[in-house]
Amino acid sequence: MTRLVRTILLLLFVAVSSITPVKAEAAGRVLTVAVASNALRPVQELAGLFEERYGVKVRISSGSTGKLYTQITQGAPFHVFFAADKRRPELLEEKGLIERGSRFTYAVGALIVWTKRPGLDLGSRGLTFLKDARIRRIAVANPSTAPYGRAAVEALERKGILKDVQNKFVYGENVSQAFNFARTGNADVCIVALSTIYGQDGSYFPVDGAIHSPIVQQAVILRGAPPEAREFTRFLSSPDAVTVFSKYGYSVAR
Amino acid sequence: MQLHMDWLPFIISFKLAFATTVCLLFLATPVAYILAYKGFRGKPLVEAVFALPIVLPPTVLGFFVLIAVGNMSPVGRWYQNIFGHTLAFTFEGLIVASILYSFPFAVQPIQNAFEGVNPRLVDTARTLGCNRWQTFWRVILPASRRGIVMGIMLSFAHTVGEFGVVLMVGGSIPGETKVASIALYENVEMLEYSQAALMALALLVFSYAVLSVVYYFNRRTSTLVPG
Repeated sequence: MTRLVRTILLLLFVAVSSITPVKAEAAGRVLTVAVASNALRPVQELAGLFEERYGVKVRISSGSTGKLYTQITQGAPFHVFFAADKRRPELLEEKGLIERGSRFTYAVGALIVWTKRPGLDLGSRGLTFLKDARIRRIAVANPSTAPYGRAAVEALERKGILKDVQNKFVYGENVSQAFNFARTGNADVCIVALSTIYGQDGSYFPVDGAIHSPIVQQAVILRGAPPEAREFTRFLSSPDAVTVFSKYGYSVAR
Repeated sequence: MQLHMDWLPFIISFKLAFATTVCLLFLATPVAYILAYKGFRGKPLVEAVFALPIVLPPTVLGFFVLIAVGNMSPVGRWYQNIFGHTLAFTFEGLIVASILYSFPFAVQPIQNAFEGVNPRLVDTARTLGCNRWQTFWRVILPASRRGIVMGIMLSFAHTVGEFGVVLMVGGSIPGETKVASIALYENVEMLEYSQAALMALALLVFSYAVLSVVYYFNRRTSTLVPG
């Protein structure tokens, strides 16, 4: 029995000691940032740079834009929100939940078709290749919830081949999941963001950006955020940030 | 506010839960029997494996399934060679995933029930000339029906409430793999809160009904079968 008591005490000690640093950190300047999953990597990298230069700790939560939006409307304690579209930031603005005039475009996404299937080199192909009989399943992000999914459907519609390929669709919750479907060989190809395949091999071709509405990703500063939030968003529009975003496959048209 | 409920995801959820529960009844009962009556080396390790789905986050389990049925795994390639497509994104694929996901919820109540059967009853049956098979059918199974009903109810309810696993391997195909929990989630993502609330309410009522039946059954049979 005493051994049990000792084990419990030890566990308690570990639990308490793992909580304490968080409290200590909260005493300094901390910015909490909500980021749509697809923009997580560049924002993370930039947050690291920002921490070094400004001495402000950035705590990042990531998830889908819809989920983060819902959490924000329910009073989630975020200071800055990086969405995967511009609709949700606009809605927050309408609701008066953001700092006036803080909504801005931080990145514009590019759509691509990717595969890792051997013998299915996409290098010089175009969208009509998706009709090919060798392609049986196409993973896309859910068009009703994900901006890249909607853009993919738009592009296929504009090309006039949506009806031919629609029955090959399987839907991922977001681009990462659509990518996972193809990466694990469960789908033959996926239509995802250029940023999704950062650091991955395989072959891909870009989808002409003129045949779908631009995938504009906007950010907002939420009402009641500390002044550091303004510094952070300003830093995310700096030339350094542009370099990082383009490295991950975004353009930063303004 | 216009609300019209799409019942298709619910029908798929129930079809899935029904198919999974039937499969589990046949798969989990022998496993529960072995775990209850056979002693062997490393039994705790085996029991721990069967209990893993309780601890593993469903999305992790789903990710393992996705890799296992993909063309990076021999099993996945074998299946694809025979059927010409992957098991992912099909209703059958969801059944396989749900069996894994709900396995402990079927095995554990049944195993507990088997272990709770009075050994004297079993011994008496054996001395009266019943072989193991007859003893199982005539003594152990009737005496364990409470646990078996529990196992059935829990597997069914657990599968209806399944989300993470289906999210990983389903592909949200309407009429095939888009189950109620996924449809609800998509409604929240689309900011269709009233639609989502309606679906959530339906799921809540259903879950409450199932659990009430389980507890009702529990009490009634426990007074019928002492010990």
